[in-house]
Amino acid sequence: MNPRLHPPATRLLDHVAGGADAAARALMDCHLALCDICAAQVADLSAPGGRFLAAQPALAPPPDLFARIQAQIKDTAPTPAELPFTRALAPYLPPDLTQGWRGALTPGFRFLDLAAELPRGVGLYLVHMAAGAGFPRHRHQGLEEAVILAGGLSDETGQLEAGDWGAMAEGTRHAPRALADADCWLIARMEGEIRFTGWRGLLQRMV
Amino acid sequence: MPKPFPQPSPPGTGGPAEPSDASLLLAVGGQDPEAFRELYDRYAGRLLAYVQAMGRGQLPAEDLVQEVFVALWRKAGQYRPALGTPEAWIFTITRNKVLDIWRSRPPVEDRGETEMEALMDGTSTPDPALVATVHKALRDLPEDQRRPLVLAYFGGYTYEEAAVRLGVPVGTLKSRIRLALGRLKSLLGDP
Repeated sequence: MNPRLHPPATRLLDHVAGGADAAARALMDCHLALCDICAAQVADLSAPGGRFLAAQPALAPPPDLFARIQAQIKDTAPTPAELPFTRALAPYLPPDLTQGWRGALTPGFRFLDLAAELPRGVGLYLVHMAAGAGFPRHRHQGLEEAVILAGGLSDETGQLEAGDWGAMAEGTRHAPRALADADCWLIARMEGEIRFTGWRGLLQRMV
Repeated sequence: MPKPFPQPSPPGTGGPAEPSDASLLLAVGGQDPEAFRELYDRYAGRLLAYVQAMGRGQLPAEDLVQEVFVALWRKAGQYRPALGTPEAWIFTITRNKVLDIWRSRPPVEDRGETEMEALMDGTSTPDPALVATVHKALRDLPEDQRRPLVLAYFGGYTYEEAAVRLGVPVGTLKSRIRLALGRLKSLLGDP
């Protein structure tokens, strides 16, 4: 089954033409794992690159290069063994998913800073919302894009389910809530902070 | 536990055939070290040629190839044939990895494009017919489409760098890349 909501065409082009930062690539990797429609477009757009690579002359690598690669792989973090969502996100995750989670003044909501190498002002987060949990109303101070990894959520703009690509433009407000029947996992790329409304907003400004 | 190495036999031959690149990538996704070694043997030389041109003498090509293969090891689990041919998928991983390294370094005045242009005109390869096809298709593109493609898509320039170099807005650059890719695909036909 394909997702209902897809990234804009410009994001697909960025993905294959080098215009996407690491956070945008993480979102796209997750969406592509669940969407044959966008995968087919990426296959089309990246095909010339493959033809070009296939036509390269093969130079002789230094004899010790593979041993160097093997040594570096041994030092890289292992992939978390069990994931409740697509393994396309695995390369971006820390080895121990039990550590580093933070809350946000609301029960059933937690997030993990994935701390990829990103341009200034851009964040990448793994978000977990317990089934039925809500996140307080807030306003976005920059573009937020997200891909639902498992479960689903709803807000004033509609409902998103696994694989769907959602976007909230700068200045928009919403109060998402996980669907009642399953936990919601999502990955979010944020170009700015969020500002809570109501008493949480007052508290946030004081802090 | 690594997955078993796939060795399909072609009909009528009775012996094991070389696994396809796609089979290798799928096996590497299962952390199969033998498949990884085979993938390295097939791609390291070509990747070295490509990243050497992208590095323009300012990034050590062997170090770049090392980083690319580490990325391939970590990301191979994402590959599925619906995403395109293995070489197209590996090309994209490679170009993005080199771009990430460029972005992490202080900006330089002029990274030049001579080596990439030279690679675009190269003829010394295992398959001259294939090269002729790719390079002819590139030459057949209008210049205002070819150069954005050479710089950003193949050459590892950021959009911003390529736009400055060509004297066009980033939006225009992206439009031309999209047009060029569409045209290139029709010129090259199916892989």
